[in-house]
Amino acid sequence: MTVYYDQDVTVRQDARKDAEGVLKAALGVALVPVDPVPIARRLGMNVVDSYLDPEVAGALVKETGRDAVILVNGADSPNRKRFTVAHEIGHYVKRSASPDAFEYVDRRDNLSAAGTDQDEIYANEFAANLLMPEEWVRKYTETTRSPAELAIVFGVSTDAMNFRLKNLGIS
Amino acid sequence: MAAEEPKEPAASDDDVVALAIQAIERPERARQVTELDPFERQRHKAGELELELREKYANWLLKGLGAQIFVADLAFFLYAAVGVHWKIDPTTMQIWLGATVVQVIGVVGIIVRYLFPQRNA
Repeated sequence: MTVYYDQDVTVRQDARKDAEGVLKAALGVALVPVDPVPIARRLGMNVVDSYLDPEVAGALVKETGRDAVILVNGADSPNRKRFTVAHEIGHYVKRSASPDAFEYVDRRDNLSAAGTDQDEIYANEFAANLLMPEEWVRKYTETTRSPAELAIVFGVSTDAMNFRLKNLGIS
Repeated sequence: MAAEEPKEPAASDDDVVALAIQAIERPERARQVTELDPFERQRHKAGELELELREKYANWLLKGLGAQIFVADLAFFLYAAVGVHWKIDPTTMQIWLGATVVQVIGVVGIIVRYLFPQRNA
């Protein structure tokens, strides 16, 4: 059973609001699956396919006075890359108020649902809300689609879809 | 020009960050990603074009329907107001008005059922 602490709840709520704001500002119209790459580019980040160890999902690096860059593992499927980019956008949005340099290297275990670090909880929740907005998930589940079918619609892994459904109390 | 592929994948945090800094400093040598799934975009574009076409058809059908109702109402009004001496069989008027109603229902039916069908019905 997953236990959420008060601090985690606040972080998740912030992530949800921020993701909704970014999605609305970037796309305006509901289109699934969401492609987070144009959103990252509109936020001033470059997304680069890189030769990374299989354990490294991606990274976000920002140097003072320069545009940030998101690295994604070139060997990953589009669905995994989608989640990684959305996750890194979450880190970027969380740090966007600060002009300082920062760097995040995300390994598979960071992106897993069991993350306990506040930054990772925020980024995971942000990614889930960006790619699978609650309103759209509820709308699509009205027609009783299976998690696998929903995963195709939203362009995410079945695991990510199942976790999202569980979090929303749908499954 | 694309950068030369390193022999080993970046595994440590330092190596990954170094790779990112290279991409920041020499963006022209990095494999920039502009979209994840071009096919999805094409699918959306095709969907949007289809919707646009349907909207166009629906608009023309509705405009035609409006004109038809206007003409029918005007003719009926003239018939009622000034057509006292017109020699038209009442059955003809009944059939004509009945046909107009059927036509309206038919056009609305076509729009709703065939132009904008419920995908999950």
